[in-house]
Amino acid sequence: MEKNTVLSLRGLVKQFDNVTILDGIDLDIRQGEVAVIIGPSGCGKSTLLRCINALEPVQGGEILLEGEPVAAGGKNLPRIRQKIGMVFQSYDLFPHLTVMDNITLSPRKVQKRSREDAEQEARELLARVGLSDKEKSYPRELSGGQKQRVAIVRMLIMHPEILLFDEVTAALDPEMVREVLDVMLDLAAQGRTMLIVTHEMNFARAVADRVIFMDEGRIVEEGAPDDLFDHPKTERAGAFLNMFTFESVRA
Amino acid sequence: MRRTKWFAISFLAALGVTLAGCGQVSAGSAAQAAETTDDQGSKAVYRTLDEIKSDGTVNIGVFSDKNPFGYVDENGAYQGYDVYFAERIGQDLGVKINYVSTEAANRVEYLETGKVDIVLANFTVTKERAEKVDFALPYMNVALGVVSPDSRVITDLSEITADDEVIVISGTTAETYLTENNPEIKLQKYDTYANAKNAIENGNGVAWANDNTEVIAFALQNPGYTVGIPSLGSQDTIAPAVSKGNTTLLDWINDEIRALADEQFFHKDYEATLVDTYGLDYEESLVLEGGGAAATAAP
Amino acid sequence: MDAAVLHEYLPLYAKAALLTIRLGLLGVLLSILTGLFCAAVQYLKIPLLRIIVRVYIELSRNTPLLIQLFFIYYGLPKIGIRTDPAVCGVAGLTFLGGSYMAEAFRSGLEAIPPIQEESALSLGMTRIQAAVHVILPQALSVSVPAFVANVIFLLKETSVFSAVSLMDLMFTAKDLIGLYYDTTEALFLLVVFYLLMLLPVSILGSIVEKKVRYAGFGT
Repeated sequence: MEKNTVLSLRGLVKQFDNVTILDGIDLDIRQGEVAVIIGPSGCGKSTLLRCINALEPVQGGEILLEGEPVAAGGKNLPRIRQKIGMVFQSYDLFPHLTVMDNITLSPRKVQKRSREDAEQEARELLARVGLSDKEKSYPRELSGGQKQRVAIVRMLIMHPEILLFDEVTAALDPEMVREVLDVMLDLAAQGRTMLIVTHEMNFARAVADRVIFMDEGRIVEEGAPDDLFDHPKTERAGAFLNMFTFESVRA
Repeated sequence: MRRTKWFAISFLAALGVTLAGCGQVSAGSAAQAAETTDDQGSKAVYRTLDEIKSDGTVNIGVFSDKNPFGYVDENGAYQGYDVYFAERIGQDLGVKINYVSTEAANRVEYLETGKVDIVLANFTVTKERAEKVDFALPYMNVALGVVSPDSRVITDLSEITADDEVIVISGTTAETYLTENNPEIKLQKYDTYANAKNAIENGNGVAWANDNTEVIAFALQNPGYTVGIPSLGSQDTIAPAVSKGNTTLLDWINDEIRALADEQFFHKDYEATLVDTYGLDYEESLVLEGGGAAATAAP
Repeated sequence: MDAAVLHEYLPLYAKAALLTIRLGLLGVLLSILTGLFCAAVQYLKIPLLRIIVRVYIELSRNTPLLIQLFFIYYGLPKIGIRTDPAVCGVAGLTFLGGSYMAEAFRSGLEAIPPIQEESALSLGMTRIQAAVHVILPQALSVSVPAFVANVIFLLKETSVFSAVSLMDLMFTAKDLIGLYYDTTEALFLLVVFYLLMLLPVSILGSIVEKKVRYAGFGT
């Protein structure tokens, strides 16, 4: 393991009722790296993120965050999870709380920070994602794109070491995709460590330091975005990317 | 906010309608009461003798849980001292009988609302009741009695302490008597005979006050209990009752009771229904033939 | 209707209403606790306890309160457990209400999608923190309409307390009718007192319902 490795997966196996979803995943994410996982639906990429956050128990292999094991049911799990930020595909804001309370709940309850301190940071972060005027709104009053930006702020305020994005634009109306991707590009520019699952190929190319192609529960190919998108080494990656290329030609 | 207000307003409106409705009902029933006492009877709730005869069925209110006076036997048939008499009434009227099960507290109401033509349910004659219903000649003597467990037999009401509770059945003369004469005694009230019986068996009260016929029967049937006070208050009588003002039916029942004296009907009734419970010792003290002394004293 | 009679009866009804409210509210409170416990057992899928809770809920929901009271008050003393009427009334109400409250809370809990707990966990909350700050507030707000209906239902059910010699409103009315035969007055006061007792609960309930109707999902 390299010295600046943040996340390290070794031989990760995940099964649902004897169906293998992840079949021996080895992956290292370096400090400040932006890695993008692509692949066909059902290839296991979303499950991979859920396993990293220990929302799913694994059947084999190990997950190390800064050298510390992450395992479902582990005692230190709440503490370790604070270092792993995650944004989900479906809107997962707490509907009974205002935007401000959504963001400050965890810092106050989990990290025992004062309300003033948490709210001050929340305002700074909301300003950066262009939502300063929404702090008193309830989630039902926000658009999909606004909700995802709030979810990102809610994750950032915990100061995680690594950010996981699970198809965060997949449920959005097309005109709202950009505002969320812009926030993510901004985070990448700040040098954050990010692991992104997405279907937005142009975005992947623009944001990624490394692109990982997954299929049938395995990492089939990985490399620099230009290499992988323009000269895929494997047939499967080529075939998958071809679908997007073909579409873009028609457009 | 707005919905809450409408909600409140509509509820208050409903309350208003309810109150207005109650007012009207009460005005109506007051008018009706006046009419019946005037013997006009045109809008009366009751059915006259002729109406009952032409209908072919008489409705008689009896107890269904008060062995041996009025109860339903294992075959589902009404039995008991009151029912024996009811059967005879049906026979002599030449009509079928529809038995209506009553509780102590609703006997007056059943007559006032015309649910029954006659109540034959161990109905003790009292002044208050006589203002609401018309009693015929009596057919049995009764007094109040108090039964208590052998472990602490109550022989005088003064033995009952402030911590004790006495079981009574709501709507009985025992309840009225203790409420009026011994307001210091705490009463534990039950709505049915069966519940009161269960309560004394479970030791929920120190004693059970009721008609002495009933407490004697209870003590005879349940070892471990003694009637410490066999006669409390004045000697009362039990009589059939009809709706206030139903004179045709009342007169017929009175004639019937007088006529039955010739055949000593109520002695036969006693021997058929009560002797198993009370033996022969109580026959003369309980049974009244031809209305007894009240036959001459009756208004 | 006779105003003098109404005036004379008022204290007796007030006393009965107080008894109904006292025992009714205590029963409702204990029902809520029982319901929360049962709902928690079912939500957390605790083995064995879960089966016991299920049996209890079916037993309680499928028998009338009157029968439950009879059993507690007249049945249990036969095996040596004697209860005072007030205790019996509250116990009966709790036995009945616990299951209704449990079902209300359970349906509230089940209405909250799992992603809510997962996102709370991913923010570093413990399961208990997630339950207290995220799941329960939403579940309770979903349960409020059923909860309010249950409270009113339970308060109305107190009218069968007369079976165990408790002088509640219903029994007071019946008893006064039996004693003095002023049927109209007695029944009129009965309706008025039930309305006076339940109307505030209904109105309060609808206000609370509105206040907590934030838990709308989606957009």
